[in-house]
Amino acid sequence: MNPILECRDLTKRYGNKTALDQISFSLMPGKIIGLLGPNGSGKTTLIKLLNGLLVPTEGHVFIDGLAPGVETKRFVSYLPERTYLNSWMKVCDIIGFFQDFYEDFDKARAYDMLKRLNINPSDRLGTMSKGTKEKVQLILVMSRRARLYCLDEPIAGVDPAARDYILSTIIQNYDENATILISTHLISDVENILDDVVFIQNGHIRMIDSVENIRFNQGKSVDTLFREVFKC
Amino acid sequence: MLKKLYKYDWKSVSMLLLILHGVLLAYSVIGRLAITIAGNFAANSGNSFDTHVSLSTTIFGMGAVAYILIYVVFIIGIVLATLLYLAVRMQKSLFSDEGYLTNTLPVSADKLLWSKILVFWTWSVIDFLCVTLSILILACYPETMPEILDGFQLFFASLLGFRGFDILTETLMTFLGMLIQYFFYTTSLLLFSICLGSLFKTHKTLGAVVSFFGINIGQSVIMLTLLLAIPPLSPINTVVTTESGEIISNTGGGVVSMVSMLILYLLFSVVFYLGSRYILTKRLNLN
Repeated sequence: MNPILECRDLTKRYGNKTALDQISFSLMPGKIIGLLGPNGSGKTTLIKLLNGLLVPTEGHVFIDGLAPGVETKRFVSYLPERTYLNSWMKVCDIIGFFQDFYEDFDKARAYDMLKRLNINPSDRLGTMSKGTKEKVQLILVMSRRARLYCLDEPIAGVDPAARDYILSTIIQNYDENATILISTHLISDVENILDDVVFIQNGHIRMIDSVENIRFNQGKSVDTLFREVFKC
Repeated sequence: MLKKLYKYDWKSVSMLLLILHGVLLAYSVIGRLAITIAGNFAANSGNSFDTHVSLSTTIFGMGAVAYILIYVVFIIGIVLATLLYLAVRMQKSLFSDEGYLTNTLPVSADKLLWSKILVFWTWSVIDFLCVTLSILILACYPETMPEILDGFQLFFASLLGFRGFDILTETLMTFLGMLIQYFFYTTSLLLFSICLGSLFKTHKTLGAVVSFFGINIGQSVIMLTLLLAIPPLSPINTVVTTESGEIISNTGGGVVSMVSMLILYLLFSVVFYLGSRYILTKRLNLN
């Protein structure tokens, strides 16, 4: 089985600041992986590199053996940490947009999730609260039958009740063969759904391990380990 | 995919521009009606110069001056606003938060760029047609029609070669020159400036504006240097004669100079397009 994600000496610098420093690792498909690290550790930079929104300064990144490009964008579903939706669009317009551009988009699934969240498809995005817009974005991203989901801080800006909904949405709507990469620093909220974790700090990979191993071999929760590793 | 991109790019800019151009046409129709009413009023009042008629004529006159002033400002404003709005939308779509969606669509950079270019062209044509229609609404009267038609006839006769080969060439070159300069050069420069602006660490919009004017100045310097260095390229015809009137040299101002200018503008356009494509594919940095 080929890795779904592979980084080789991947480096990203913003001027003098190094966001990622020669990181090398690979992730196998079919798992929910937590990309965990404190603020400014390089999580968002890594996810942007996977999605072709940034170009590496050095090194390479491969998604299912391919460099980020038109081909990988067909099967990578990306949730950024900000709202990217056009405010002039209605929810049904943006669903039409996703259906037009992504062959793997499941319109019925999207409408079903909207209904469960009491979001009116005829509502204009410009009239919605930030939290509702984030839910719409998550629905759009999770309504794709993608091979890799990159979710950047999907629960950072929402209330605890919505967090539960978001996490259950993620679990219910992904295919077993697909991979989900969740970037977050809210460990306790996500650790129950994770299979593996990648700890990242100051642009370096500190640790890659399975949650099972952390719990049973080290006898700690991921949250406790995170606090130990990233202790200030 | 290009068709789909065009559809959404078109939708994202058209609401505001349609309203703006609709207002221009409505304003022109109101002006036309006002001119007709004022004309009828003047015709009915005949040569009577009582105080009431004189006051009304003064009010109509002042109204006409105010209308024309607003109209001129409106026409200039709408042309500039259309250009500016389209440029801002391009920038937002590619490099603002919206860029997170635009640049993760499974489409090539070429298609992204061409979609923006085609929307820009479409709205430029609509803008031109609306402004022309607006002027015609205000200017077409039985008295002015013959002159307007003469103007059109002269233009088409020149373009179709009925006025001789030299005039045909000159008209065609001028026409082509305008088209290439606007549709290819200006559009590609605009896109390239926006892409260059995205490479600035901060103040990306300012960066795009500085790039636009900077490149324009640079291009003018290059063109001027070329014209001075190679006299046949000069658009000004220079004839050197002897005292007896014998021509010693006759350079510039001909078809060669016009064709050279067109080729230069086309070359610049290609360079700007490829530059934009390079930045989108190899230097994209959405912070």
